[in-house]
Amino acid sequence: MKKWFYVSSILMLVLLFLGGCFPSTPEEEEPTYEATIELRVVEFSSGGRVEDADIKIIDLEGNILTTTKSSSINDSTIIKIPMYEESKYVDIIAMKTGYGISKIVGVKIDKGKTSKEEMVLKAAELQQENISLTEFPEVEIKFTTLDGTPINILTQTIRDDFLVKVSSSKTKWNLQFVYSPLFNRVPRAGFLTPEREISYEEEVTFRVDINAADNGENKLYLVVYDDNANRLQYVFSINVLKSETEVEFNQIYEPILMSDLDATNIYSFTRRRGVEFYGVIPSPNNEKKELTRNINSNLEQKFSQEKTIRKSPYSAPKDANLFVQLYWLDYDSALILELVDTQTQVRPDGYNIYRSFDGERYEKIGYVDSDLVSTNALYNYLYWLYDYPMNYYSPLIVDGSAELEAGKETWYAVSSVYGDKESSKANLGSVVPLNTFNVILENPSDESRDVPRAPVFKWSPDKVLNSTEGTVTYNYNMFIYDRTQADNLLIAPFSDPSTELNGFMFSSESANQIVAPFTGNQIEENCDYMWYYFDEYSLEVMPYDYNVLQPNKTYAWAINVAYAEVIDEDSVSLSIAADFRLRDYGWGIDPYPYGMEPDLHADFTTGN
Amino acid sequence: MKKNYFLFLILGIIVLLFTGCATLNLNAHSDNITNSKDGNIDVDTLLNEFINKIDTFEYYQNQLIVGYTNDEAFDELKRYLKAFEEGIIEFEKDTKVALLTLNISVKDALLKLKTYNDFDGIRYIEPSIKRYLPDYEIIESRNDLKISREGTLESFEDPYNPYWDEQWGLKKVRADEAWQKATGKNVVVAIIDGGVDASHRDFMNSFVDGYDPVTESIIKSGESRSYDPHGTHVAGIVAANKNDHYGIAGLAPDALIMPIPIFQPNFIGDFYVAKGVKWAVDNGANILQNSWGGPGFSNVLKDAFDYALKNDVVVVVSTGNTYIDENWGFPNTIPGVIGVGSSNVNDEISTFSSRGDSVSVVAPGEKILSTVPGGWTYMQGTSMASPFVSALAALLLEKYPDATPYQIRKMIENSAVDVDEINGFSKNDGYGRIDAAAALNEQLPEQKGAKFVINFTDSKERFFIPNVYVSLIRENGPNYYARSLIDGNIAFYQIDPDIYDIIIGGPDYLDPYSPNYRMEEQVGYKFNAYRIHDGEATVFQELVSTFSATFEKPSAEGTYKIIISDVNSEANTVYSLNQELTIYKPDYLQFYIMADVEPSLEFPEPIYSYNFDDDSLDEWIVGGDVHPYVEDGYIVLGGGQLQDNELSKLSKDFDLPDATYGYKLNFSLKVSSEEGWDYFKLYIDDNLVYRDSGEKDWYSVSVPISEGNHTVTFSYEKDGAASEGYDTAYIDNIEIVQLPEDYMDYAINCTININNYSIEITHSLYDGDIIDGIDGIDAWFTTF
Repeated sequence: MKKWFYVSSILMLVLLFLGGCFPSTPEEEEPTYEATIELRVVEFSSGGRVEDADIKIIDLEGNILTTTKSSSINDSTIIKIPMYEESKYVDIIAMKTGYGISKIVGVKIDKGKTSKEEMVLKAAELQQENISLTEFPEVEIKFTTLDGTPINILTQTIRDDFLVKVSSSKTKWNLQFVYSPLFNRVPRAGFLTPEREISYEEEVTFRVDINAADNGENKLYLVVYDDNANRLQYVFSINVLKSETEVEFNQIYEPILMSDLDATNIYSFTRRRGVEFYGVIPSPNNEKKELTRNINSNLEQKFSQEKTIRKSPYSAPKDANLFVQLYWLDYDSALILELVDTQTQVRPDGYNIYRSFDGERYEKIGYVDSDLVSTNALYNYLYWLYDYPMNYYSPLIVDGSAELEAGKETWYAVSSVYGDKESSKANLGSVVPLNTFNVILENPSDESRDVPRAPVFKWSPDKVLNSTEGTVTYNYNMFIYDRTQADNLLIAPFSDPSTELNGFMFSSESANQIVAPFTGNQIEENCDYMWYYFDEYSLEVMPYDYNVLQPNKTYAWAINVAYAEVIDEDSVSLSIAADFRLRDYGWGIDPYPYGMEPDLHADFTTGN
Repeated sequence: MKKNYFLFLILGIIVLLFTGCATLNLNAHSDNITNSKDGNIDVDTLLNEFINKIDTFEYYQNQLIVGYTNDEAFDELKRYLKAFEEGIIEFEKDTKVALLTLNISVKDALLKLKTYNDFDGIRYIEPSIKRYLPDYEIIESRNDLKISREGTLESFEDPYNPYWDEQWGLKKVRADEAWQKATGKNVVVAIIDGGVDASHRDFMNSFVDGYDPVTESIIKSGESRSYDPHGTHVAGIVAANKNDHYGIAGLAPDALIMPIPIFQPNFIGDFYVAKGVKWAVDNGANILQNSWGGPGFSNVLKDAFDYALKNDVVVVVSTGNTYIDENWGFPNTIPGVIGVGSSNVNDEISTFSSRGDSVSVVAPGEKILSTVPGGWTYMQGTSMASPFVSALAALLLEKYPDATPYQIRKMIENSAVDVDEINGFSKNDGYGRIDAAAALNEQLPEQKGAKFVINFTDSKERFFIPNVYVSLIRENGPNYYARSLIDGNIAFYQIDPDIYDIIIGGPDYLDPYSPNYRMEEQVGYKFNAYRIHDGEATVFQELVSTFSATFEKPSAEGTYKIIISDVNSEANTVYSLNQELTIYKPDYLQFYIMADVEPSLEFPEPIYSYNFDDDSLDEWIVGGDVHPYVEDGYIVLGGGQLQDNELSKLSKDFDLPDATYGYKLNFSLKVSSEEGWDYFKLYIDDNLVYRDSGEKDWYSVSVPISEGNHTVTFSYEKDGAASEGYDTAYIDNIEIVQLPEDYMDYAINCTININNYSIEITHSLYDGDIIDGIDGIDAWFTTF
C-alpha cells in the first residue's frame, strides 16, 4: 500500500521572451502562428454554460484579435488566435445583455498550444443593458517580497512566499469584493474554494504560499467583482523555483484513502437549482454548528435524533450546480487514527490534487495547505461512521470546474507536498456526475378540486438518469401540508417511526411513476407504511387518526426530498432535486447548508 | 391519534356564543381518564404531546392573548390565571383584546384552564407567536458612501440624487415618469418594521408622529427609533427625498412616514403589533407597509388587519423568501392584502421570492440600495420589494385620495408588466412587475371591492361555529383561503368581485378551539359559480348534521337506559334500552351518550383491599419531602409541612395474576389544594394516570390496571408558589379488583351514524357510563 517514491524535482527555467509579450505586429504580414483558447463561459461557479455571449480576444494594445460567440452546442468554445509571435498575452472579454461584463486579463497563449480558461459571466445586478467596458473598476496589482521589495512578476523567478497588493478605484460601480490569488485554480466562493480569502476593501494585501505552486510555470488567478457583477479575472504566468527540501523517502506520507476505511473518496453533486456561489456563504441557523470539534468528545452521544438515522447518502446543466468533493486522510487525521509511522513519517506542507478525464493523464487542479485541512478527514470519517448528514462534512477540496460534465467520468488523485518534493499519487478513483432531474407532481395536480379524501399520490422524475458506474436509484420523501386553512402538523407516511428520520423513503431503480395511496391509519396490501402526524420542527411523530383526509379542505402536498444516487466502491454520485425541511434548512442530503426547496407544494381540495 | 382528543379537552377553552350571549361549556370535565382500557396511559405524556402542538411555532413564554367581549369575564379569567394585564386593544365596541403576562408557562396556563368553567364573554385565547423579519440579505455595507459621495453631490442629472445610477428599481418602474403625476404628497405610510432613523439626511420633513405599541408612547415626528436597519432601509425605498442632491430617492419621495417599530430589535409580539396597527389606522395611516411574517395563524393579527381593511386602509405585505409555491404564511395570506414578490434588474422573478396565490405583483427586490443608519446599503429580499408597492400605493392615493384598498390594488395589478411566461395572473409574479408610470395612467376602477363575510352557525342558529374552512376558487385570478373565527365569521375584505366556487368544510376537529372531537362530525358544502358582488355583503351559512345512534342491549340481564346529556346545560333525555334502540339527532349541540344498568354492577371481591383502619401502612412505602402518615383510618399526603416544590408520596408493588380483562384500581380520595396548581397524582409504573386538585370531598376513583408487576404511587405535589386549602390529599379504601368474566356481557354495542359516517363502539359498563369510542377521555358528540 505504501509505495513510497520520490517525485524528482524538476527545475524548469522558463525564459519569457519579452518580444513575445510585447509584440510589434507587422501589419502587412500574414500571421505566422496560431494558438487556441478553449474557453468555458458559465453563469456562476459550478454552474451551466452561458450561450451566445459575445467573446472578444484583444491584445495588450487593445487590438481585437478575434471575435466569436460562446458556444450554444458545446460546453467549451474553441477560439483560434492568429499570432505573429510564439507567445503573447491577451485579454478575453465576454458580454451579453442582462449580464455583467466579464474579462480575463493576461492569458498567456503559445503557438500551437491550447490554453484552457473558464470565466464566469454573472447576471447583471444594477444595470441590464448598455454596459460599457469603461465601467470596470480601475485595478492595480503589485507584487512584492515579504519584506516589501517589488517583484517583476513577468520576469522574475519566484522562490519564496510573496505578497500581492490589490488596489481598486471606482469608475461607475463600486468594488464588490476581491478573491485572493490562488495558484493554478480560480478562486471562487468559500463553499467551493475555502482556501481563498475575500476582501471588500479597496486596498488589500494577500500573502501567497509558494508551496501551492510547482517548479516551473504556474498560473496565478485573482478575481475582482464590482457592484454590477462585472468581473475581472486576472491570470499571471509565474515562474517558480522552490528551494530544495530535504526529505527522505521513508519520511514521506502518501495520503491514505477513505475507501481504505470503507468510507467514500469522491462525492459528486448535481444540484437542480443552482446557487450562484459567490462571496461569503453564510452559516445557516441550525444546531449542527454547535457540534464541537473536540476529538475527545463522543460524537455518537452528541447526535440528536435526526442524526441517528443512517442516510444512505447521498460543466453543470443549465441553472444547476455541479461540483465534486474529495476526501482522503490528511496526515493529522491519520496520525490520530494511528495510521502514521510516527517514527519516520513527517507532516507534509500540503497536498496537490489532480484530475483526469481518461484515467491516465492527470493535471493538477489545486493545492491545499495541511493546516487548512488539518483533521478534516478524521471528523468526516466520524460523521460518516455515525451517519451525519452531508452538510456536516468538510471536504478537503472541492472541484467546481466548468470542465466537469454530467455523464463524464472523472478521475482524481492526491499527493503529499514537501516543498519541492511530492509523494506518489494516491488514486482516489473516479466518479460520473449525474444529470439534474426534477419531480413532477402528477396527482393530485396543483389546484385540483373534488379530490378523493384518500388520494393516490403520484409523481415522476422528469427525466431518466443514467450512469456507467451502476444503477441509478431515485429516492423520495413526501409530505402533506395541512397549513392552508389550519396550523396542523404535517402528515407523512412512515414504515417505522422509531428509525425513520423524515418518513418512508420511496426508492426506485427506475424513473417510473411512484404511486403512493393515502391509507391513513390503515395498513394496506402493497403499501409498507401508515400515515402519521409529523412535526418537522421537533420531529415528533403521532399516528394519524383516520383513513381519509378532512372533507372539502385545501391541503398541499410535496416531495420535499428527492435525490438520485449511484454508489460504487470509491464514489457516490448524487443528483439532488429537493432537500427541504424548513425555511433555509434541509435534511442534510444537500451539502449546501440551506438545502434546496422544491418548486411546488401542490394545492388540492378534497371532496365531501 | 385519538390521544389528540385530549388536547381539545385541555385546550378547548374557546367559547361559542349563543345568539343570546349564553356560552357553550367546552370545558366541563375533570381530568378523569378512567374510561381507558389501558392501565398504562401516561397522562403527562399525553398532555405534553398535545400541547406540544403549539410548539410547531415559536411563541413567547408567559404570555397569552385573550380576545373578549365582556369585561367581567375577562377580569375573572385574569384572576384565575393570576395573570397581569399588559394592555388592551379595543377594535370596536365589545371587541377587545388583551395581553396577559403569566407567572407560569403558556403550557401550564393551558393545562390550568382545563379546569376553568366560565368562558362566557371570552372570544379566544392564543399564545403570542414569535415572528421574524424575512431573511433579508445585506449584500454590502455601504456606510462609507456617505463620505465618498459628499464631494459629488452636485449632480444635476434628473432626479438630482447622486445614487440614481444604482437605483435600478426606480428606473425599472419608471419612477421619473410617475413623479410627473404624483409624489405621494400627504399620504401617510405606516412603516411596521424595525423603526426608522429619522435623522438620516435622506429624510427631511418626511415624518408624522409614530407609535411605540410597547410603551404606548408617541414617537414624535422626526424622532429616531431605529432598532434594526431593515426599517430604515424599507422607509428609504418608500419615501427618501428626491431632488435633494443627496443619497437616494424613494418612489414616493413626498409621502409621510409613520414609524411603528415592531422589531425592537426582537419581535414585540402579535398583541403589540395589533396595537400598533390599530393606532396607525386610527391616527391617519393610509397604507400599512409590512415586510415581515411567517407561519402561524393569529386571531389578534387577523382582527387587526381586518380592522385596517374594513376601514379602507391599504395593507401591503411581502410574500416571503422561501421560493416555494405554497399558500400559507401570515399575514401575507390574509385575503385583501397586497402581497408582493421580488424581481431583479433583468425582470426575472427572484429565485428566493415565494410563489403562491398571495402574490399580487412583484417589484424590484434584488440589490436594492437604500438608507440605513449612517449611510446606505444594498439589501435584497421581498422585504425590499414590498415598500416599492407601498410607495406606488402612496402615489395612487395622492391622485385618488378616496380610492379603496381594492381600487389601489387593481390599478397596481392592471398596470403591471408580465414577467413570466403566463399571461395574466400567475402564482409566480402575480399580475406582473409593477410599473409606476403605467399605474398612474390607470383610471380609477368603478368597482370598490367586495367586503364579503360568511357567518357560520349551527342549524338552529344558536351557536356561532369557528374553524370552518372556506376556499374561494375561480378560473382566473388568485384563490382565497380562510377559516372562521370564534364569532363564526370569515371575512374576505377588499377582494375581487367575481364568480367563485365556494367550498366549505369543518369545523376542523384538530383545532383545539373547535367544538367537535371527530372528523365524522365535520360537514361540507359546495356552491358552484357563486357571484360575489361589489360592496359589502354578509351571508349566513347553517351547518346541518345528520345523526342517529343504534344501541343493542347487552346480553347480561338488567334494566338498561341510554341517557343523552347536554354538555351545556342540565338537560338530558333518557331512553330505555330494550333489545335495540335507535335515537336521532338530539336538540343539543354537544352531548354525552351515557348508559346505566339496574341493578348496579358489582365487582368481584378485591384481590387486594386495605382501609388503614388499624392505622398501619400495610407495607406501603412512604417517600418524598414530607412522608405520608395514617390518621383516623386514612392516609394523609402532604399537609402543612409541605413547602413549595415539594411532594409527599406513597408506593407499593403489586404482582397481579393473569386476568382476561385486567383489573381496576379503586380508592377513595379527598383533596384540598390550590386548584389548578397543586395536585394529587396517581402513577402506575411512573406513568401518570390520574390527578386532581381544588377542594374535593371524598369521592371514588377507579382506574384500569393490567395483569403483571406494577408499582402504584400516590403523590401530592406542590408547585413553586402560593398555597390554598390544606395542601393535602387523603386516601382510603384502596382495592384492586379483577374485571369479571362477564365483562363483555355488559358491553353495549352501538352504531353511531353521523353525516353518513358510521362509528362502531363496544363499551362495557364496567368501564364507566360514558360511551364515546375514544380511549383515554370522556368525549362528547357534536351535531350541528
